[in-house]
Amino acid sequence: MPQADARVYVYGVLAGADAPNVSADGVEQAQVRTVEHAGLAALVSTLGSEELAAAREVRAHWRVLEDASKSATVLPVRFGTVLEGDRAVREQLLEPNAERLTEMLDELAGRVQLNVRGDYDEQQLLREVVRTSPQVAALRDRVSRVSDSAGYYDRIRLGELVAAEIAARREQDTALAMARLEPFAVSARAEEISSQNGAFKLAFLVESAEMDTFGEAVGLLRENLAERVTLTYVGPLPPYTFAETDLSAGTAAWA
Amino acid sequence: MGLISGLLTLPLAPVRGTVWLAERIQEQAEDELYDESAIRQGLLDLDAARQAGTLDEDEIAAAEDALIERLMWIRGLAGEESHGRIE
Amino acid sequence: MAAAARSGGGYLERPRPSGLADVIDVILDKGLVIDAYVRVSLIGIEILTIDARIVIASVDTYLRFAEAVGRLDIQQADDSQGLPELMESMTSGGAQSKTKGALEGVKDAISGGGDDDDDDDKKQSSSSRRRSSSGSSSSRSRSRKSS
Repeated sequence: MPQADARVYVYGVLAGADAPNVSADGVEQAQVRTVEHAGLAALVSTLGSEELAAAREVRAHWRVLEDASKSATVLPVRFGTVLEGDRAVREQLLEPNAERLTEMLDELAGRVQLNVRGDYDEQQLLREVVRTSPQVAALRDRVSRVSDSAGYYDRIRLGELVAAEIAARREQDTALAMARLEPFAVSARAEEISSQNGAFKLAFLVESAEMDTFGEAVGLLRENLAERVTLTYVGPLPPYTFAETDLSAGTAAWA
Repeated sequence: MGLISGLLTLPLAPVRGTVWLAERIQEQAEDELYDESAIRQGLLDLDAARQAGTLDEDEIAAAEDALIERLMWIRGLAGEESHGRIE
Repeated sequence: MAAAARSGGGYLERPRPSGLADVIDVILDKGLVIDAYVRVSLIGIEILTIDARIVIASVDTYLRFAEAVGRLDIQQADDSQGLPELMESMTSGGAQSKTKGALEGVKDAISGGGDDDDDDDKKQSSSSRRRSSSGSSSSRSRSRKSS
């Protein structure tokens, strides 16, 4: 039986009027339930232990949010968030932030997150860099004529020039993709690229009713990028990226 | 430290250029250490294997776990525990 | 390939459902952050002994680029790993670490280090390699918390 004081894992927040039908198992395979207050509902499950097997529970977190989002607008909470108990959820999460949370849910209602990423083919990219940069081509040529040790410094320099060329292309391609797609979205973010072959990594908040128009813009962008950049278009997702906000729990009590 | 001492002994390396270069190298090396594309590709490959039925689910889950853990380490999430003011 | 009827746009694309590879980023990095919370420790993570600040000081990456560029017209490099190799490389104890001390030593030993490069026109500032994003971007934390 869920004790009122048992720690709870928090998945997300939704409007109290929406009843999320979550059949997926929560963290530790616990049942997902809601804690309600101030017209809001937090999606939680009771935690039995002090530690979590992180990788496994990432998936539970993900599935719960996907499930709930099928029938309601859900504000995802950062993975790994645990509060002291149901009471803490009401008093420290929902009560002090009721206005802000309600506002955010209103902004997200009827909208979905769609992610668009572009990746280069490294071989093709390098070919293009050599083709378009005489300096790179010349240095490459020079390096090919000498022994490894004699050309050591030149090779480093060559690699560094290539890296700079790639960085410039990333900037250009990110700007291009953004310019093409942003007009069809409510909001847009460009994320930091964390993979070497990445061209761009964008997140869009789009009206559900406008998804098709957005999808046409994506199709056109893909055509224009041709083989230079491989486009991946994913969604709809719960609005992880657009729920990014720091809330302070219980500030009133500490003021 | 063969590479670094090699760098130091290069007769033609301009002094200031070498320092600057060492910094760029470290930056790039950091980028490599933290490159997440292999993790992402691994997860994509595993999902493909799942669809194709070429590996069994337990193996796939274990491999996914390992990749996620690696990513968490990169992001500095491993073993982190923080207590807020409610404590 | 159905052409879109309106506005001369491209073929209407539908997004594909997200898989773990697509969402793992946002799940770990995004979402509401609640200021005062108890965060249970996440076990099951191989705690590597490498401190994030200790990094391989290696020219390998640049050499790799140079090599890749040099090889271009000869043969398409096949560097895809098989799954078992990938799993192994992902779960094994991590990269060899050479102490940062060595690199720091290099910097210290060479005094008067300015930022000049002998070659200006093609040089991109290193800040261009760190994407600056419009709107908020995920900030990657480079330093691990030391336990």
